[in-house]
Amino acid sequence: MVSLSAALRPDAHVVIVGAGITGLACAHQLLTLRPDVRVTVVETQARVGGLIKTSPFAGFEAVDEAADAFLLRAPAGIDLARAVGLGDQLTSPATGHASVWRNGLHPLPPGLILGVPGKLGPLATTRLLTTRGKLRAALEPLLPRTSTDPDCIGGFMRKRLGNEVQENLIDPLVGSIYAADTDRFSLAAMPQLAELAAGGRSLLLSARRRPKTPPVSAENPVFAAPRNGMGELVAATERAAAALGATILTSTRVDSIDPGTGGCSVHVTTDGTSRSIVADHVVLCSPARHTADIVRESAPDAARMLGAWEHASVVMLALAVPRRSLPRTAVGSGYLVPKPNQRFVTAVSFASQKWAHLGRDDVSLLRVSLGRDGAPQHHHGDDELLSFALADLKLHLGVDLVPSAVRLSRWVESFPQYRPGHFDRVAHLESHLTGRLPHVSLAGASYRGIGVPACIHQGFTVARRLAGAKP
Amino acid sequence: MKRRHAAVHIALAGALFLGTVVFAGVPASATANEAKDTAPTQLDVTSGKKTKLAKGTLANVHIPAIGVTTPLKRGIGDNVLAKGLGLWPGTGKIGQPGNAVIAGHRTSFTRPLYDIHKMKRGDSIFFTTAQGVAEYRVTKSQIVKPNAMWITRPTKASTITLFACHPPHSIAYRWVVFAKLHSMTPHKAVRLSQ
Repeated sequence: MVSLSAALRPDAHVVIVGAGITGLACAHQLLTLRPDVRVTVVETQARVGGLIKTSPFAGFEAVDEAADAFLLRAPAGIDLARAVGLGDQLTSPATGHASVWRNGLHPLPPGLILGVPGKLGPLATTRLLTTRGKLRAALEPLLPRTSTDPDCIGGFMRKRLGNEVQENLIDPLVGSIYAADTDRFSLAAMPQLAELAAGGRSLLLSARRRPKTPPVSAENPVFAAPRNGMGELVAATERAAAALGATILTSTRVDSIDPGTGGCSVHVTTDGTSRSIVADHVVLCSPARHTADIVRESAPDAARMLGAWEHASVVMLALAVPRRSLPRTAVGSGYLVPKPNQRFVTAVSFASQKWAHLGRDDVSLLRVSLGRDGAPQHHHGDDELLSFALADLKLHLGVDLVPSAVRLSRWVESFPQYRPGHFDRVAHLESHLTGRLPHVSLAGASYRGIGVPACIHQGFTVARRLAGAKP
Repeated sequence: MKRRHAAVHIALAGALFLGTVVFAGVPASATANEAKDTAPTQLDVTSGKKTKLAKGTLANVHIPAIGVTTPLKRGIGDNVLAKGLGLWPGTGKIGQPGNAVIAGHRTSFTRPLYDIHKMKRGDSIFFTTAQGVAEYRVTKSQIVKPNAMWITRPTKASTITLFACHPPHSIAYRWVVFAKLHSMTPHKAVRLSQ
């Protein structure tokens, strides 16, 4: 997002590549701040939304195929929802209680901060850790300072809190968010954990010192989502951006960008016909792989770096099962499977229990995630994936589930993986890019945060800088 | 994986089908018709994928406990075992009553059974055949001498006997894992949405 260029001149033309949530949020914000500017959003696929998708399923009007909520802690998500008129249509999970499956479902002890125990009381009684593991974790305040270098969650947490806390609490909680292997994931990229690590010598003491956050409740939720699914956030942002004058070109591929004086020309292809669009500024919100192709000729060093970005693939399976077939142990919003116990399924969400609007008397909705960084599952056939998921559910819940409807969504190469030192690499990448293409900015899940609010925030930041507003 | 040949695949599927694989729960004929009627509109949302077996492969084998994904072919000769697991001809068939005896290398070639000693009672072994997915669960492990032919004995129940050399890099003994059929899910056993 570093760019040498200052704010846009009046009536400038901005091309945004990628109509995912990042690109649409950027377009909306830019047009809100600078109604004089022309904005064109170019999207390769026929639909907008990128990695957010909602569709009808099993008689429900809207069930998410990917992310089903966004975090409220980072304000960008709720800011966008309000700005595009969804402020009064948001809902939050009915329950925040989750479990971990470790040869049985065990509720997560309360007071965890992304897996780091903030309270020792509940930790002492949990059956997720052995006595040895608990004693090892309790030793943490006595240990000397651990360097946060190399920048890796797993390495740091294993040294501070021991292998058991890392494998059974931190890795499932943090890893399941980004389909990540936290033993290969940047610590700095999880701001809450990085803050704790920087807060002092001991993590446990830092966690205890944190200002008391009120307990999660209906008045104080952690997550929110539009009642019609996350797709509604995309649709509303698209509508709002279009109402402000944005042109959205779908099924149009960006082939390359040529630098010019005071701007760039963007070469696009629609239905086999190529043309060029002259732009004062280009914002690349496309996936890293696609972005690499676009800048391959104009900024080869940046393209090489982007091409080396690693991504994890996941499969999301939606199942509608008879409500009565779920065992009594299936309570709360869902459960996570720690890596040592993983076979195919990494997490299961009891969607009908998590979301009041997805509750029904006859059927219960399950959203099952398979595959993660280092353990892809998307290459299996559809039937195989379904059989594997049902076998895992049998193992976890002890019942044979017979779904009345199944929906399978493959998200191949969808989750960028922030390896140790990621932010240094992003800075390096941007210096390569702006050296060659001064009128190009980057935003999106590949750079400064993977979650939905982080993507929106990046879109906003670029828009504000281009508009000449204070960041 | 090598290129898959559709014709061979279909022929193989037919051959296996005649070989009678009985799936628990859903009648095979019903599911075959149903799969056609309920054309998968919801399934294949991003990039639907049929379950395919490579040419000459009886099943794809997945053993999550030791991270193994490998083909199962017919025969226990060098050319078969160099590429994955081999089914001892004349012993049982996957998913049917009887004892299917399966061999694999421990330390050489693709060494699919390198970690066979880490398999515990209750661990799953999945076989994806042309008809469905059969899940076996490990019942016990044992070390035997190479002349212990009793491990190939037929059984009334559907079982498999998986063996490899032991200790690693030696052929003095064999590490044997016994497993029993736990469940079978025919392909398209479940109605796809809409």
